Amino acid sequence: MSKLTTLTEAIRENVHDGDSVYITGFTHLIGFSAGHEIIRQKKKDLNLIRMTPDVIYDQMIAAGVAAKLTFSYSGNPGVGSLRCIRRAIEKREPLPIEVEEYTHGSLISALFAGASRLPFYPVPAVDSTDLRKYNSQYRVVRNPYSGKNTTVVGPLNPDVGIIHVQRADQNGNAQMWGIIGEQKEVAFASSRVIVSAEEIIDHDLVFDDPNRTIVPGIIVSAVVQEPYASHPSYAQGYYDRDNRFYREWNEISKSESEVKKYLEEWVYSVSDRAEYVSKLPSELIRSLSMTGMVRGNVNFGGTGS
Amino acid sequence: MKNLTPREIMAIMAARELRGYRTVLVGVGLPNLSANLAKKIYNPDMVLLYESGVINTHPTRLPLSIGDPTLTERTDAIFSVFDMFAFMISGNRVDVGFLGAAQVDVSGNINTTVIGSYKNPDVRLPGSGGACEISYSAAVSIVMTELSESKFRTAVDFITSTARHGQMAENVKERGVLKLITDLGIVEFGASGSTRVGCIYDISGLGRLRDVFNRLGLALDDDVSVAESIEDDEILALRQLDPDHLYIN
Repeated sequence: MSKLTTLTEAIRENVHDGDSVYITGFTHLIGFSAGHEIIRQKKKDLNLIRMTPDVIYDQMIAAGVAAKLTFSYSGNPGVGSLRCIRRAIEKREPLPIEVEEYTHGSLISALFAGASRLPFYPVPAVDSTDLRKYNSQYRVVRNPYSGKNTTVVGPLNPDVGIIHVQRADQNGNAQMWGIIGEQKEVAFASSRVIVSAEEIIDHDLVFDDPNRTIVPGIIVSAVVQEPYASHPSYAQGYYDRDNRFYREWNEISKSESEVKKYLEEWVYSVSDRAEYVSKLPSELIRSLSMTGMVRGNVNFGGTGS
Repeated sequence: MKNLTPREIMAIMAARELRGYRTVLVGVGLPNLSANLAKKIYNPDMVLLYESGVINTHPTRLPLSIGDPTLTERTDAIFSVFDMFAFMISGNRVDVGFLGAAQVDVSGNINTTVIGSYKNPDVRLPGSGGACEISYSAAVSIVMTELSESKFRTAVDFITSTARHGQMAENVKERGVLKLITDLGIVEFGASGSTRVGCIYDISGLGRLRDVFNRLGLALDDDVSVAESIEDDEILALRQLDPDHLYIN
């Protein structure tokens, strides 16, 4: 059964005020367009979860959609700070924000536990850190085998997981390659899953290459065709990371009024991703296009009959 | 030293320090530049690992972030984040954790979380990322930071990670060692709690180094060795790697 819809509809039906929302992508395939749509629909009081909030959560927090941020590395990778998030934490501007902070290893373990419906997961590296004192999801238990105490982390189950991939079929079988991040753990940990894809492919192509499927359609709620959804992040084989924008955001985000101007021009006053893409300079799109490098072939054999 | 900036000196000295190690997990910022320099001119067989899941990558350009697409173009494997942390990091397959820090203290604790108090921070820093697990599991931690009063201290404001554990990793004799690559020289913390100066870059910095050690109540050895002076080909290789001065500014 086709689950194809538009991103506007998918967000309207699956993301509600007060929800915990995880937009995936570990540097690669970050769902910027879903973040922008959530801003446009003026959602409120969300708990935004991401290992690396990145520029997209910086924008969403500046836009006031979140009451809480759950994360493990709040930096602009390779550039420096996420300034809107810093303003929210340091100066409570434009709104105060509650923080639930992890380390990468323990946050991905919490998602793994959530996805596997396990009660907790051991995270011994967290034992000697100060973070343990500030996040009640960390508890200490006695290891029944060694008798020694160890820190564990509780499961994390977002209400909504949003996954952007290179290609998916209309049932939601989502295929990706390159850096495969935390997408699978988030999809299985979440109550509802939205898949968006650079391309919608025939189901036959999924049968041809099933190892590429990171999220099976059987757990997916909605499927969206959304080319260029990750810009300024990237999609391996489709478009490169716009490092220039990541540096530019560092300047824009120094002032709240510049951030407002940016959101007005690139989020509120465009209706969807297609319109956003049409506003990007064609020279930029040319410079980010990735040269064709189709590689690899495997023989699946076949049992025939 | 031939118009070198302090960051350039640190990048070269840190890269030299990676000679002799096999698997190196590379953090964001200056370590990223320095590790790529090391692979280019000192240790071509070194295995570069990034927490984004790439294993033994051979990037064709300097990656801006730890998830840059150039890291996936020529690499032995790409793991999910869970697999990377579970099997490679927690599984003790990392010889060196190579990271940056905002503050380091005399006990080998590292802070990348907050300056000031956690609840009301003066400066909110990015946080752990993978640093906590990497420092915990890697045999040796190499950390880049300056020796200023605000950065090298008796106690850090917040313990994000600690290099005191140093688990077993193959082919590495030292365990639980923290090497601090600073703007003046290299300071080494032994697993037993000892502190010594590995080397000083320039003998003219000895006075400043002595001041730092006095301030923190650390004993400075009488015979501090001086690093070999930096050669032109090292500077050239560094500047070729970062022509746009993304890291060296």
